[in-house]
Amino acid sequence: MKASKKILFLHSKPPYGTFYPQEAFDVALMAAAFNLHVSLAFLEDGVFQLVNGQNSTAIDRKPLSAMYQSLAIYDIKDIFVETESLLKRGFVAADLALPVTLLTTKEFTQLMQQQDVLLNW
Amino acid sequence: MLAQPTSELLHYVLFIHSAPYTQGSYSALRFAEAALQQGHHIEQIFFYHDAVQHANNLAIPPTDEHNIAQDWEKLAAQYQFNLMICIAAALRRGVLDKALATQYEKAHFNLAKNYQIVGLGQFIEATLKADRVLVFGNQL
Repeated sequence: MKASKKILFLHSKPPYGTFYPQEAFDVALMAAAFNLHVSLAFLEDGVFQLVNGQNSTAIDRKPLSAMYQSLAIYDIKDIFVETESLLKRGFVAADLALPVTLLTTKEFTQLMQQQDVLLNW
Repeated sequence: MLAQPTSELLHYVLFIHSAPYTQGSYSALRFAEAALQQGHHIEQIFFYHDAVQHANNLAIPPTDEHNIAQDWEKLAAQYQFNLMICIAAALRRGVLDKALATQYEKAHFNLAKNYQIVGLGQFIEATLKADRVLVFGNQL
């Protein structure tokens, strides 16, 4: 058994279509509590989850941006976004609710290849 | 490095996200059957999100149709692996064992036999031990 596996949480779906991003977040926190090396990565419509200033009160949901801003408290700091997905949707890194590392598509692929466990949503 | 095809026998954890009778649900079952027939080991099946409904024994599919919850129970009994559902996901969707029903003052409980309600920590522990963790989600 490896002492510390690298685990990547990969999000490619928009924020409020399901309740899954909130529940996925709980898995990430648990993985961090078990001292796994936790990274989160966002591509395609998943980048909408990180956009700053989400006001989800009209749909009776908690804003995902606020949830992700709390990641630093749990010492989860490796947050990656695929640049092309972001730009295609009219955003730049400054539009996001937390500091992220932007990756090219090739770098994003390399990130996935470096993992022991990849959980995708 | 991409995983290379191997003839070595592996320990698997299956992380199922999708509701019963969806593609993800069937794909997971078929994968498990095929892997076990080839001699691989399944460490744990972890039902998360809407997949916790697999453990709802108040579901009554038509008698001339497959009962996927029972398929899992049979496979798990035959090959001795655990069917686990996440407690938080189960509470949200109304899948309770007797203890939880008492704790939350509900009149009924509905956890199917051979399924266990556990914390997410059980899933993370299993992923630490596993050679492969496979996600069965809603993507077709």
